[in-house]
Amino acid sequence: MKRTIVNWNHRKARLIQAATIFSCLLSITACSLTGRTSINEPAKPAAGLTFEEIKREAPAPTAAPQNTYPVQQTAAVEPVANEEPASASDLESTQVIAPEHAGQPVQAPYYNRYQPQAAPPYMPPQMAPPQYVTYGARPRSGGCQFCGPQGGCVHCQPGYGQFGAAPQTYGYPFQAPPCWPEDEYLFDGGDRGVATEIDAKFGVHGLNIEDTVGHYDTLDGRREVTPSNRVCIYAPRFAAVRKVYGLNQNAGTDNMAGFRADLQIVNQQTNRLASNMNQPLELDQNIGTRTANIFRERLRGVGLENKQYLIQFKEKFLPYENFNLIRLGEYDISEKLRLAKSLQNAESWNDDVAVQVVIEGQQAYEARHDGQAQQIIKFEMPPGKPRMRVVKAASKGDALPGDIIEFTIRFDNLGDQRIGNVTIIDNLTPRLELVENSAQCDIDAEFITQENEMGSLILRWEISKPLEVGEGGIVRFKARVR
Amino acid sequence: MQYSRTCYIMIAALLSLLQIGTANAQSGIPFYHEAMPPGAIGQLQLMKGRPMAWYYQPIEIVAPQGTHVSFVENGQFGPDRPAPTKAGCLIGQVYRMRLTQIPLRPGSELYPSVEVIDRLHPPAGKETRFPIPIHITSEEINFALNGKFVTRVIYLENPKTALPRQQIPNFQPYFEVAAGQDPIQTADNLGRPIAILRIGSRRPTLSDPAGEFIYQSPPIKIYDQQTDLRPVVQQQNRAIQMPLYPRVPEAGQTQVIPQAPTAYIPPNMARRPMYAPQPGFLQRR
Repeated sequence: MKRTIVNWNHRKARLIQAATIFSCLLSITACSLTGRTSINEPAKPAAGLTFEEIKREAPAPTAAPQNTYPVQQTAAVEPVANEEPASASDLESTQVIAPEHAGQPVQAPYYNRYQPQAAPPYMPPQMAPPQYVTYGARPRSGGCQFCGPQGGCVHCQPGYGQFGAAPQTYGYPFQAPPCWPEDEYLFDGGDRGVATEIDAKFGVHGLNIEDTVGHYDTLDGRREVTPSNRVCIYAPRFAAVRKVYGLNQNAGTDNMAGFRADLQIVNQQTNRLASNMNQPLELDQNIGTRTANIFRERLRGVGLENKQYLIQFKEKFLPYENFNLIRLGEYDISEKLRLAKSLQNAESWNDDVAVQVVIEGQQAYEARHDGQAQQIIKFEMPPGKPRMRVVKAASKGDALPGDIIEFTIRFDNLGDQRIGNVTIIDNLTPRLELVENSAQCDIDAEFITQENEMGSLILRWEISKPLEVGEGGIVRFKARVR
Repeated sequence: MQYSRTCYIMIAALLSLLQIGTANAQSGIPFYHEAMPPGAIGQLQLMKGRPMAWYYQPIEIVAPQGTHVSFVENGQFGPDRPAPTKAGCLIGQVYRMRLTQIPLRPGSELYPSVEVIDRLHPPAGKETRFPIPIHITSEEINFALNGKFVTRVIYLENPKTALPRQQIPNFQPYFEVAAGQDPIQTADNLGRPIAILRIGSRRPTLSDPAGEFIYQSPPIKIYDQQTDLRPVVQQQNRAIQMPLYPRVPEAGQTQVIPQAPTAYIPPNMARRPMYAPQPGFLQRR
């Protein structure tokens, strides 16, 4: 009987021991899982947005008009250096084909990362990674390593006004890139982060917040994506975190036991600190004009005799749009200074910025002499290369909550062949709200909006007709700053 | 007995593992917290080497309509200005203010303090167009007058993660944190903390050490509301400079040599012409 009790105690003890070990293992697993999970990871946006829209048939290569204009197909062109040729095997191995299209012969990629893309005018390859502003981060101290995509590092230096920020910090000069820091600006345009891709069903993938892209179909069946430039608007917004502390009880007795004072000034010594400072405002640095190098590639020698189609425009051209680049799609060298300012939008647009002096019918433009060796840059575009340029401009460079900003997007067919299914997509930042019935387009287009994941809208213009060589259009809309 | 001891050891090990797991779940010790004294965070911010030293960051005090705000200038409270009013503050300094003429609170005064811990980078010339809005609501005034203490951390929203709501100019949205939560850390998680408002019921007393209540009166720029919010420039009296040697008179002009006044001319000479000195007649005692 005693042995039985002992055995039972042994079994009970082993059971408890086993349960303990099991619970320990469970706790270790939980610990490891807890340690692996980071609550401080940045919240990533959704993997992508897909427009469930009306199916639009992509133009098949056979549908291309034969001999309408001398166009060489891309397939016959030798691949450019540094670019991998796209073969059918590569396509099959790299592309993700929708199930309903499985088994169909792949004629040409709807998107291929190795295809010679139109160089995005906003992002040179040496661009620094985007700066994520975090509280207490050292990189906010400046330096030129965060120069913006526009290339200029010194023309936008905040704090050089009457407030007299010290331009030097710890030995190296502070040079703020344009539109810095990013949490004080609203951005619209470009294609940051994950590259936008368009699939065979016109589904949009990788369209992040603030992105603006245009995509089109080529004659050989490709679907190209062209991002626009990036427009920044200074519009900081604030909120607060409040905490109320309550005192429970405070009891104190203040009794004056005795008081004797010989009111006699023995000594008086006053050390007054300098409580006011007048700092001489001296011109620290000239703000240089930024060269609009993003349009160098667009200086092509094709015909520029495109006409201006004003079909649905309700208003005249606004002051900030008064450029040949916006009105006619032509790049005029005399507008480089003002155009650079509009695209960057470091200052607001006023009426007095417009042309004030006209001498004998010629616009007086600013002459500049660099005194450097002249350089002739010759561009040779390979034939059979479709291209589209998307340029975006904003009417204001800074805004308060409630202000209305007008955006203008100009898109042009700069290639040497016709492009079709031209679509302009603008993913608005959550601080921008589309003003109703403000979207316009000067050519036949269908305007579609869709909510994005941040509570704002995705604007979409589907151009009805294909764009011939040299043709273009203008899209305009208003947005209210929240 | 031996097995029970083993069980105790295992249970103790289990408890220790659970404790370690709980400790691992915590994420570090925050560098900035609510218990830091006023001015400490801003001074630590200055040590980071950012271009913030001697930058006057404009702030805008938005209080209930009718409230008057007085900033400390040159060691004493300046004139009362109707809210909203703007001032330029240095980063890392603590500025004491005085709120008077509070609506529905006759005779009440409050002395909040503002600490700017970061700066904005607006385009040149538009610094006063984009000040840091520091809102003091009627509720917070009532809290302070009832003996409570309110800390309000103003932060800059990240535009990519901002709430997609239209913001009203006269109201600043805020989050209320409960006891045990740190408003500075909460604001740091939501955006970039940029200013701290502390408002309680403390009043200056005669027993305060000199300059303690007003935080030694740090430099401040007061913007005049009537002159388009430009900084008030103190006009300095320029000394009248007389030439040492009078110029040589040109032809046809008589040389005028300035001489010291020979008679005291009363200011009311025009109304009392009988006392006016006549040429060649000087009153003498």
